[in-house]
Amino acid sequence: MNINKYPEIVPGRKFLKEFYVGIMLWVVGRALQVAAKVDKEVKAELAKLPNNFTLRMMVAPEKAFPLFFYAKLLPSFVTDIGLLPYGIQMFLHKDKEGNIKYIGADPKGKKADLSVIFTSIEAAWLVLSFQESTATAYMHGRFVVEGDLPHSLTFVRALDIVEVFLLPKIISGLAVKRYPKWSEMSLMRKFWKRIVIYIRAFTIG
Amino acid sequence: MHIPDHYEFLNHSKIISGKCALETIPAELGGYDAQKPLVIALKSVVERGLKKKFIKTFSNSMVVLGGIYDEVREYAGISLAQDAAILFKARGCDSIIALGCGPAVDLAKAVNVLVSEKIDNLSAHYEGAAIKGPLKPLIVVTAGRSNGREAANALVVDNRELVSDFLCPDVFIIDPRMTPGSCGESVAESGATAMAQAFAVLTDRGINPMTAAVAHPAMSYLAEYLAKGVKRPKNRQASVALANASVMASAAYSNSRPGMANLLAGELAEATGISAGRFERIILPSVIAAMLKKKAWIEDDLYLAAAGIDGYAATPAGERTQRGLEVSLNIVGGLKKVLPVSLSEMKVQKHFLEKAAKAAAAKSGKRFTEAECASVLAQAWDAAGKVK
Amino acid sequence: MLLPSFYDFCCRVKTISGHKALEAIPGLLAGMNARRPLIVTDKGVAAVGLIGIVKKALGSKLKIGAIYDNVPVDSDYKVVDDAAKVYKKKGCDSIISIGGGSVIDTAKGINIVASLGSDTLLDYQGFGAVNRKLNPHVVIPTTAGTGSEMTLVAVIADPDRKIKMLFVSYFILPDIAVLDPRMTKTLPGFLTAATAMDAMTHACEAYFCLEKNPMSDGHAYRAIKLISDNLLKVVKNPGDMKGRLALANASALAGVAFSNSMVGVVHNLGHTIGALCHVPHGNAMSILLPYGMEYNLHKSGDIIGEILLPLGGAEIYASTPKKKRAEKVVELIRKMNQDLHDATGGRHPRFLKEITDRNGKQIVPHSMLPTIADCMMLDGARMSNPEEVLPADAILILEHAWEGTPLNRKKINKGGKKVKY
Ligand SMILES: [Fe+2]
Repeated sequence: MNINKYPEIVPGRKFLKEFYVGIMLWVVGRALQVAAKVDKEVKAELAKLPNNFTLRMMVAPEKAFPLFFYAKLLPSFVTDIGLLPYGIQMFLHKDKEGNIKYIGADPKGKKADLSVIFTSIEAAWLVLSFQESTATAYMHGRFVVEGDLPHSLTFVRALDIVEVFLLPKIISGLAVKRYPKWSEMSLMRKFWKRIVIYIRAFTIG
Repeated sequence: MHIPDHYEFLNHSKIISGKCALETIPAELGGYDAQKPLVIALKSVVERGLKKKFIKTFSNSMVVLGGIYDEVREYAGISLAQDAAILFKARGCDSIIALGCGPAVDLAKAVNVLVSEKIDNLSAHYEGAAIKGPLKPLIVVTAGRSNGREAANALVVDNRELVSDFLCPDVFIIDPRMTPGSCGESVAESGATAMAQAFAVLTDRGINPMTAAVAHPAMSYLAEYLAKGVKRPKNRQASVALANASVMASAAYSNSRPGMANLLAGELAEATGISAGRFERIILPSVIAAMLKKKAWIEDDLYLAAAGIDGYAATPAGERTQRGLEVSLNIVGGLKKVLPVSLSEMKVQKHFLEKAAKAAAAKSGKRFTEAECASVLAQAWDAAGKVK
Repeated sequence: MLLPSFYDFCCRVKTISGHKALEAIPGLLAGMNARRPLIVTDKGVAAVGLIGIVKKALGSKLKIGAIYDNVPVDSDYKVVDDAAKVYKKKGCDSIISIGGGSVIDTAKGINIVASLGSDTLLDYQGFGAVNRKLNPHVVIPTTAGTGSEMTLVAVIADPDRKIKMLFVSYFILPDIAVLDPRMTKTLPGFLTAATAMDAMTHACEAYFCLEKNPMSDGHAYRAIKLISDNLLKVVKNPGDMKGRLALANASALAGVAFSNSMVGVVHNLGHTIGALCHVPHGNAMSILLPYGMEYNLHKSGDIIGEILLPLGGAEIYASTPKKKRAEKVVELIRKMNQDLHDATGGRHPRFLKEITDRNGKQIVPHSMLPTIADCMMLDGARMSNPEEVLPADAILILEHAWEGTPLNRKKINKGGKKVKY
């Protein structure tokens, strides 16, 4: 038998989806950082996490791509949004005073206390393009959680609130189980905060 | 609900069905510490252009496909398994993916025995040597025509059967990108096989709650989607439902006793070399007609599964057995004339029938007599099992 | 039948059920090349003589390596490590666990340590740490309820860090579950009732929570039917071996269903009450089940209504209008609790305020409810519930369940779409 007839296959990459997911992780990270400052509810939710706590969101597998030698030459903006060198991930850190800060995409020297891991790039795409709600995605095993379960629930809840802030109802209505009624979240609060979070996420943080 | 005084049940395979099911394979393999599978594919599936789609789902993962061995056609022979085993070893693979149903799965199981037990052929096992331990992880991606043995603890290579619990595949992937059929005929044949299996489980007197729980959704999906799937083989929803039904029926059936239709079809298939699914399509209506005539009592599970909750509850208790059989007859009827409906149409030699009746009765463990089998076959000769 | 857009299902436990199921164990172990099992159990099980029955059934073909009966009610990793040492010292090659949820979970932990080689369970925390086939594990449940014999989870405490460690892997699934009515025969009526209602809750929640799928439905349906047909009979007549076998089957079926479809608000609150007030799990379940259904009625009423068929039978189902079916289900569960309350001489509590300890003291004081509602947010079961559950919602449910009044459904915070399964 000629075994060369059946070559070994190294599957490729989905660059567009990688790019989108990388950017979305960056947006989510920055938005959480800002929301924790400007919104009481998100703040209260994240206050349940212990101080000096590092959270990671990433797409499996972590070691998918060998470090490119030129990775270090790229502007930090590129590495920050999770492109190319490190697999796609982002880190949030809660410091001793309880402030939440987005601390980039470079895993070097960081030890995550809680990891939210999308099981594949396609899974991350389904969730971050809001085709599946966080709850549905959890049910469908699109992401797994490494670390203490209570912490991950806290995080998912904070994420849900931020989603309502960031997205128009027609999209976030799909992403959360119960869209807050006006009694729970005032129109003012939502729109004002939507603007503030967007502006600050992309600027001062 | 009937609980036998003693029963054993095993449904080893994990089922992953639906949107992006294929993308879960790397994680599943990772759970077994494996990342280099050998793919054993049906030629027909590859020819339909599904190979590219399949490979693409592994993007951005650590998995490397050790090779796609796509020489599997209708027949599973040991020489193919040996070739694939050579490829497996040469590439240093650690797991197997069967892309396609039927012979691809039989072969994948055989290859798995060869490479896990480090042997060249299966003859020792045919002689009765037991398979010693867990084999390499085996994932089945369902596509193409099913022979009803996919989820079973058995393989058939060169028409010889080998049974062991270790042969059950570890994972079934049912993905809407892979399941749509090529033609109504192949959908009908898989459907007839699943139907015969689910029917056998649900009408068996030794039925237990576990087999019933697995055969129930199989029968429900067949009732709802078989006619639609045969008419429109490319319909994604129907094809996913029917693929589910095939896997579930096969899993339940491997825990149950064969029914008359399965036994007779098996005998005729062996004698003629035509696939059993075609005979099941022909014989099942006659078997049901005979059961209707005999007014045999069967468990409620059949009617519940076939008619759904509302239909079941609306029928008085005394009529459920009969209605269950009638609905089953209708489900088979949904196959219309996509496949031949009588043995005479198939030009089966008449002397095969006698032999088949005798052998089936002998294998039934005294559940059916030779005369009963013969009369069913006589009916099936000219499709007397009426379809409403 | 519902076809979910995505689902997965797995239960690779071999089930042996029957009045003489225990006798099959030696042959099955031999089939897995195991000859020297460690028996893991607790003092309670040993005290009622169940070990003797098992030993007799195992006969002389099997050499028992050792019997470890030191599993406490709240088992922790130190017990696991200790037992694993015994396992290695006595040269065992497999485990037979005999007991309820705690024993089975401990045995799962022992199997991890004993099979993978390290000295302590602490080495195997985290996702993917258990990544190969473990040694053979046979489970003989002695309560018909927890369904642990069918689940891939082991919950084991770490008293030093005051946390519960969760081990999840398909390799943790036992190889064989043995359902033999002799093992539950001595279970007193009120415990039979509580554990069976736990199984009932598994089945019902599996049926209406978000991860439901065709396979879990098939299992859950049969579990509900078997329990509703047999539970009261068995509580009234403890020697009913057919009924006992049916309940053991139901518990296993419900275990298969919920380990593949997850549970919702009932378990969410039940776990929390259990952790904070030490309410027996089964009691919390039977009390909260009707409330959990009422709470989800506006989101999943049609699905909950389907439960009426196995629960009440075809006649009641057919004669109840579609819109009223879900409410009828809630009513029947309440009636079941009442019947069990009567049949056990009041030992089966119907409301939270009725639960008392041995000295007749109330276990769940009203003042605890806000704390329970806050801590509820930390339990994973809230993810799979059809309706969102926040502390304000939890307090609504708890108040009613404490008092024993039906849930005031007008007060439920509604919003969002009907559930798409
Ligand atoms: Fe429970």
